[in-house]
Amino acid sequence: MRTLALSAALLAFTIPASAQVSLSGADKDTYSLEKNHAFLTWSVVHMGISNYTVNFTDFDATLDFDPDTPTASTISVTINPLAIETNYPDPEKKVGWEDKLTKGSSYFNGEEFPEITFVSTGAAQVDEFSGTLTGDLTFLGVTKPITLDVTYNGVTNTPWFGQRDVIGFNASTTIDRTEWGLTTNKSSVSSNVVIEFSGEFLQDD
Amino acid sequence: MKPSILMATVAGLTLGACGSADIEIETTTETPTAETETVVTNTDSDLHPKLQGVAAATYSLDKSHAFLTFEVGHSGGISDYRVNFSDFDADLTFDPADPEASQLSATIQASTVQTNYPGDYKQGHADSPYESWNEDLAMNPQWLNAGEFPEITFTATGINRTGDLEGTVTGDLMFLGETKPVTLDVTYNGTANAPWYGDRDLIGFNASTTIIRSEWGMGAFVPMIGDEVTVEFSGEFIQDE
Repeated sequence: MRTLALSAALLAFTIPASAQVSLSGADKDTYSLEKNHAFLTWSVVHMGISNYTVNFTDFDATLDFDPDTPTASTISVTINPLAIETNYPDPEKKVGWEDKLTKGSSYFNGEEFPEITFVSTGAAQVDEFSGTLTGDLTFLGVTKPITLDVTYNGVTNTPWFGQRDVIGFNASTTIDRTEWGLTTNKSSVSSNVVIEFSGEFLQDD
Repeated sequence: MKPSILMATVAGLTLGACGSADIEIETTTETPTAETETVVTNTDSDLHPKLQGVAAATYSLDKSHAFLTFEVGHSGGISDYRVNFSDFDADLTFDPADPEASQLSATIQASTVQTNYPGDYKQGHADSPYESWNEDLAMNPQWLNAGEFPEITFTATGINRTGDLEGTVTGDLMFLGETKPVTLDVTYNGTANAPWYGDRDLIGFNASTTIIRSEWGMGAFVPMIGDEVTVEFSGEFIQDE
């Protein structure tokens, strides 16, 4: 029954198939990360021959979005460094490996530094729906500015969130981990770290 | 024997061609030692530097350095929904002197999809027979239907080299009981030797493709959830003992 009702709701739920991106229809408001539709990964090059990609599994963000002047928008992000997913195949070794990455003093040292944060300080528009977002990244107790390339992907409304707008973004940047003091295994793991986000933000109630 | 001037020219050209395209990465920890590889019989020094010293051999996926994901547009494309496969394997026969003769077969355990769903799945899906969103995605007949089709397989049927280190790999993708050809864009990233693997070579690749999921019979929620699925792989293969 629920499935039928949901299917009917979805049929009535009009989504442009070719995703005509528009800012109109997105309210100027405060939005929070829709955590079930949000992905944040970091990737390093391993021994020069493969990309080692890790998912963060616990992070949140609050966005004050201004569709009239997108560059006036602000965001703050908090990431739990203890919550990662590495895809290590052996279940027992996986625990050990992820513990080492998250808690190890030469890695994320997450018990001493339990939050990674990003607070925006400025934005610049590049194209109609893309721009750069600069902000302060605090990691391992070091705060340094970084700049993200950001794309706004559009707005939608879903039956289960009623009138509350859902807006989606992609963002990416590359940082040099050694600038935050993470210098471990420089001989076999790249200093550059590619960070990628894609996800949705839900207008607050 | 090649005149040394020609070799120097070739080396110079090759380095020039790849130098600016290389991303800033740490190179391998040690240079592979070709002389220890009895199976390398070709004129190794004619190869691209990243292919030199690589054993022509069979390789298996190094599962702890391998990532396979798929992404679909969600809610009409406002975000990319990302799913990892956590159990997959592959066998590769690779000849650095003749990459187009390589053979590859891969098997993915369909039930091992891993999403990032921190919410309370049961609260939002009280009537669902599944315990988690991962299980729903894996087992639901409208999604991966892994109970009926536990394995997704890819078997390469043809390889075309498009650059020194790039090519396309065409093969048969069997998914949900349907077998159709797909073509992957593949980049060979290089070789390394790790102390714990001794003389066995490691070689790394990236591969990606886009498929239309409805062609394999998975049409649920198109277009709210995109029909186009971007599949990406990056990982290492270890020379078999």
